[in-house]
Amino acid sequence: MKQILKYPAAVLFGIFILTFFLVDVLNEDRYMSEFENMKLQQKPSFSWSDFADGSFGNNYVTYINHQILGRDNWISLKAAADMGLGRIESHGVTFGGDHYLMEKLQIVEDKNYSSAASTNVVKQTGLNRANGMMTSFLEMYDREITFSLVPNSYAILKDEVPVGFPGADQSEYSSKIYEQLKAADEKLQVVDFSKTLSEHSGEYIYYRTDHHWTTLGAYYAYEEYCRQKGLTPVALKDLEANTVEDFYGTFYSKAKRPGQPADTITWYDVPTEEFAFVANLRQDPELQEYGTVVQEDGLELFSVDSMMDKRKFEVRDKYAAFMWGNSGYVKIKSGHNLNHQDGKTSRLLLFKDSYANSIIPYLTYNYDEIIVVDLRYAAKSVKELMQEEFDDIFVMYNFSTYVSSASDLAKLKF
Amino acid sequence: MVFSSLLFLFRFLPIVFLIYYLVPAKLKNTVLFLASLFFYTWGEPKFFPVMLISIGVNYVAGLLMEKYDQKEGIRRACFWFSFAVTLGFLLFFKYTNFFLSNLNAAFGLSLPLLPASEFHLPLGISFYTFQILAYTIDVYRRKIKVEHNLIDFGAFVVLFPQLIAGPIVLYPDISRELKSRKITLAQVDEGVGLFIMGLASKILLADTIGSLWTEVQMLGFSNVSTALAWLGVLAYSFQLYFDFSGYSLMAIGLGRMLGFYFPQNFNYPYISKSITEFWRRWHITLSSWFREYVYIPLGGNRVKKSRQFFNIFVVWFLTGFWHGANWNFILWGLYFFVLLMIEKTFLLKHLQKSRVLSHLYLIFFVMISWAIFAVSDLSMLGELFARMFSLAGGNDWMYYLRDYAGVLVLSVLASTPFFKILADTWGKNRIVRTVFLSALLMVCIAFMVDSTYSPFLYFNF
Repeated sequence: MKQILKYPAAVLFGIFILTFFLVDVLNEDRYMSEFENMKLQQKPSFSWSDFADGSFGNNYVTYINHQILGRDNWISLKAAADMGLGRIESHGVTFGGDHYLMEKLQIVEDKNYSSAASTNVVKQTGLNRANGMMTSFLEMYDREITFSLVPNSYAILKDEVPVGFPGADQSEYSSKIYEQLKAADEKLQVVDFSKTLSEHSGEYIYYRTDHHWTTLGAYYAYEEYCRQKGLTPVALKDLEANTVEDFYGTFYSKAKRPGQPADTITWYDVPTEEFAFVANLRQDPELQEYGTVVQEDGLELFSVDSMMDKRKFEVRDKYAAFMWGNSGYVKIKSGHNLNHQDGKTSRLLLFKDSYANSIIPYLTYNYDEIIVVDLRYAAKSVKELMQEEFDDIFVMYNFSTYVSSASDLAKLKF
Repeated sequence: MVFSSLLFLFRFLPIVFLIYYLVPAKLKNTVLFLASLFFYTWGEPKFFPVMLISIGVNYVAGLLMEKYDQKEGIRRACFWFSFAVTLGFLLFFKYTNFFLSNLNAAFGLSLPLLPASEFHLPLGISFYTFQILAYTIDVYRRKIKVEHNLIDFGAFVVLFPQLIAGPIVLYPDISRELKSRKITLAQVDEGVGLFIMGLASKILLADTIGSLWTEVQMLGFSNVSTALAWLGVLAYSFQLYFDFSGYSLMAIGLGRMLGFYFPQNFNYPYISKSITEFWRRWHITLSSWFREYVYIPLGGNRVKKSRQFFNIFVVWFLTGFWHGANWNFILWGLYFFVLLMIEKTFLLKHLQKSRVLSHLYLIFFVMISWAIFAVSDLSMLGELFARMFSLAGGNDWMYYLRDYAGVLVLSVLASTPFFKILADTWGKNRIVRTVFLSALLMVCIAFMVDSTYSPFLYFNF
C-alpha cells in the first residue's frame, strides 16, 4: 500500500487505461453523432483480404476513435484547450469577431494541394472545371439566363474577419467568373449581390454558427434581384415573421468554440397553392403523415401544405426546415404573385444550392410557378426541363459551393 | 500501429501490459516478441515475412559464426550473406525507385518504377535494419556474445517501443536486460511520466504546429509573404523536433515500463551554440551508429587529413541518404558536412565568444537545413528560398502568428530544459506531478479523438 501511494502516476495510469478499455469495449456503439452531425464508423467485419490490404486495420482505428467513450466530451475538451492556447481556427473554420464563425475557404494551385486537406480547400482546377461546366451550359441554349454567386460571410463581414485572414478573395474571383461566363454568352445577366449585402453588413445577414445567410440577408439579395428584373418585391413587414432560437449550424459542428452563442432563425410563413417535391420517403417514412403522393410533371412528387418542415426546428439541423431540405425537383404554385398578369402563368426555373432555400419564399411573390432544381439530386434531365417555357432561368450558388461543385454542375449539360 | 493512437492507448497497451506483468519472468520475452510482431503486422501484414527473414537470417548467421569461430572463410561468408540480405531489404524498399528514376533521367531510359501503392516502406525498416546490422557486425568483430535464444533475439529486433522511430538500440545496450530485468513500480512510474511527456510532445506540439507548415505549403511558397515563409519553416523545425523526440521519449518511457533502459536520443538540440554541438544533441543514437559502424571502420581520424576529410564526407552523405531517398536529403547531409568542416577548421573557437550570436547562428543554419529537408522537389525548394531571401510584403503572417502564438511559445519553452527544471523542482511533489501528468494525458486524448474528427457535413448544400 505504501508502495502504491508512493507512485500515484503509475497506479492511476494503469487503472485509468484498464478501466477505460473495459468500459469502452462494453459500451454500446452509436450510429450517429448529433453533436458532430455525422455518421459514426461501425465495427468493421473481419476478413483476411481486408486485413491483408490494411483496410481492416484502418477502419478499425477509425471505429475505435468514433466510438470512444465520451467522444463528445473529448471534442469539447479539445476546443477548450484550443481556446486556452489562443487558437483562432479549428477544422478550417475561423473564429471571427462578434462571435462569427467563418469558413476559411482557400483556392490553391493543384501542385500544392494535399489530399489530407479538409473541405475548405479547393483546387484551382476544381474552380476551372466548374466554370467550364457552366460555360458549356450557357453555350448549349440560346436563352436568357441569369446567374448569381452569393458571397460567403467572410467576404462581406469585413469588420469581423481577423487581420491577414488567408481566405480566397471572393470578389476578385467572382468578377473573373462573371467575365468568363459573359464572354461565353453575351446574353447572360449577372445579378451581383455583394454590393447590397456589404451595405447591410452591420445587420444580422449571416448566421454566426452556420454557413448560410439569414432570411434577412436573403431578403436584401431578393430586393436586388427584383430591382434588376423590374419586379415588385414584397415588403418584409407584410410577411408574418416567426423565430426559432438555439440554432447551432454547420460551422459549429466543425468548430466547437467554447461560449459560442446560438443563432436565431427568423422565418416567414408564406402560403402556397401547391408545394410538391421529390421526397425520399424510404429514408424519412415519418414524412408520409405530412402530405400525399401525387403524379405530376412526369415525376412522383410529394405534396405538402407548407414551405417549411417544422419538424426540423426540433433537431440540430434546423436550416433543413427551409424548403423541406434539398430536393432534386420542387414545384411551387403561388397564389399571391404581385406581378401576376391575368391569363398568364409566369414561370421561374431555378438551379440552386441550399442558400436559395431562404430566398425562394420571397420569390413566390413574383412568379406564379417556380421549379427548383438542386443538381446534386437531379430528378429530371436539364435538357428536358429546358424544353419548357420559362420567363426566367436563374442559376444561383453560394461562392463556396460553386467552386467545389464541378461534378454537380456537369449535370447542366444533360 | 503508432503510439499516438487511441488503438494503441486503449487496446494494445492495456492488454499487452496486463499479460506482460502477469506472466512469469521466463515468458515475458515471448509475450514481448509476439506482441511486437502483432504491433508490426497491424496495418500492413504483407511485410511480415520480411521481418521474419531478417530475424531468422541474422540469428542463424550469428550461431554459425560462433560455431565456425576458427574457420575465417565460413565466418566471412555468413557475415556477408546476412549483411547483404538485411541491407538488401532496406535498399530495395527504400531506394529502388530513387535509383531507377535517376537512371531513367540520366540515360533517357524508361525503366518501370515499383508501384508506390505496393512498395512503400515496411514499418521501422530504417531503424531495425541498423540495429540488426550492428549486431551482426559486432558478432563478426567478436565484440559481443552471440544470442542463442531465438525469442530473445527476435524480441530485441522487433521490440515495439523503439521499432518505428528509434532510438536505435544496440544489442549490448539491452542484452543484460533481455536475460533478466527487474520491473519495479518506481520504473513504471518514471516510464509513465516519460511516455505522457512524449505523447504531449507529439500530439500537442508537433501535430499542431505542423499544420502551420502544411498551410504554408498549400498556399504556395510564391504566394506568401517573406515573414510567413520564415514562420512556416520555423513551424516545421518545431514539428520535426517534437515529432521525432516525442516518439523517442515515448519509446524510452514504454521501455522503462517494460524494464528496459534505452539510450537517450535527444538532448535539447535547439539550445546548441554550434552545428557540432547540435549533432551531439540531435538523434544521438544515429550519430553514434554512423561513428561506430562507418566512420571508425573507414579509419576515423587515425588517418591523414585528406582521408579523414573523405571519411567525414561519406558519413554525412550516408546520413543524408538514410533520411530519405531523394536528392534533397543528400543535399541536406552534405550541407551539414560543409558546415561541420568550416566549424572544425576555424569557426568553432570564434563561436564560443558570444552566446547570443552563436545561438542565432545555430538557429539560422538549422532552419535552413530543415527547409532543405522538408521540400523534396528542388524547384519548389528554390521557390521557398527565393521567398525567404527576398522581401515580399503582406499581412498574412499576422493571422498565423496570432493563431499559433500560444503553441509557438510552448514550443520555444519545450525546446529548452524548462519543463525538465519544473519536473526536478515542483515535480518532486507527487501530487503536483500526478495532477500535471493526468491533465496532460486528458488533453492529449482529447486531441487524438479530435484529430480524425472531420465531420461529414451537409456542407455543399
